[in-house]
Amino acid sequence: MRRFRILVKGSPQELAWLNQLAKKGWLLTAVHGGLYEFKAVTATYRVFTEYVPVDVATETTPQSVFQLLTTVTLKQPAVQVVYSASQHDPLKQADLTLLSDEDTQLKATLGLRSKLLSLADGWTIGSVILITILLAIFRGNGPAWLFKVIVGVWFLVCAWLVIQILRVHRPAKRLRARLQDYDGAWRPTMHVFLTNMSAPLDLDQVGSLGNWRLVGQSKKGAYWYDVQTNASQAEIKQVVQPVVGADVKVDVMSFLGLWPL
Amino acid sequence: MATDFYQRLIDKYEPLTEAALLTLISVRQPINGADIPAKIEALTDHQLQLGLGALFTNLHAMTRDYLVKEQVSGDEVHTYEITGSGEAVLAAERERLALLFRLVDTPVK
Repeated sequence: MRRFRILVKGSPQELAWLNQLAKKGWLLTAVHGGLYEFKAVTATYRVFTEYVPVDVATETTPQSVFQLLTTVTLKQPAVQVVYSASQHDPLKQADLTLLSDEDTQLKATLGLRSKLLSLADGWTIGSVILITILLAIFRGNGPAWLFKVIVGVWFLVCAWLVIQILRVHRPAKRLRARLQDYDGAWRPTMHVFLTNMSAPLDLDQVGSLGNWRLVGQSKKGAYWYDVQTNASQAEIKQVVQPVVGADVKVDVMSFLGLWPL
Repeated sequence: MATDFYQRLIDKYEPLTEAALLTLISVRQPINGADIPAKIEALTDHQLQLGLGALFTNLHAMTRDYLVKEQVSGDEVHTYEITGSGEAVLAAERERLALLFRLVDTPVK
């Protein structure tokens, strides 16, 4: 049996789906991109997935308790996903020591999202080129149904891609929040104005808020910083005020500027 | 010289993760790689087990650091056995765990 699914390799969602199929008697045999191949089995298996460094040899398969089903090498991040299974009764419910690596899972999730976004870009550009060529060929006299079909297909595929991207984006957001890893992520840039400062702000003390950047300063002790953060204006003020002291006036402007007013 | 070498490995591996400890203990006698999961199961009375990825990764790292030596026979059977360095790391871990046990057993005053 073959099934096509766009899932993050090694993610809990993928594992749950593989185990669901294993319970129904379908054991994974190979993975090619989004295409998963299964064979019918009579025994019930529990499937495991783990991220393993690429330089680790996985062909030396212990066959006694575990069965190595397949491995997939990801490019972004460069890591292998090892799919294994066991029909050994004590392992069907046991808590195993697995290489559960949420950092790698986040990178794999972001890698898949980036791939899907590139696919959406390619699809849109390709469609525009196709429509332009058809318009040039028919010089505006082409059959109306043809353009309706092309636009309809383009829209359907775009909608499908958006759904797939959102399905990958949500777990990525959750993982980012859990790991507090916003490397490369868009975050609002809040503007922090400090007046009556005797020395620049000690960024080490407020670094937990996000990425700080000094934008400008005046000779009168006014400083303007930009901070990329998920914190609100009130939260920023709450963290910065004790660091700079009560004499300093702290003003924070939202990334939306004056728009909320 | 040898002590320094062992100490560097001890510093690198201590404290041992559960997976690393189980891997090292399971190869104290020469063992076929295929039999390691069953050995861990027997040693821990079915209480603990490593995933294949955890086992592969630990064996790879420990073989590279010569805590474990690997022999491959003509018919591609991989046999693993702990080395003196591996025993030194295990001994250091035993001492560390013994100290922790003593702390746990110390009556609260």
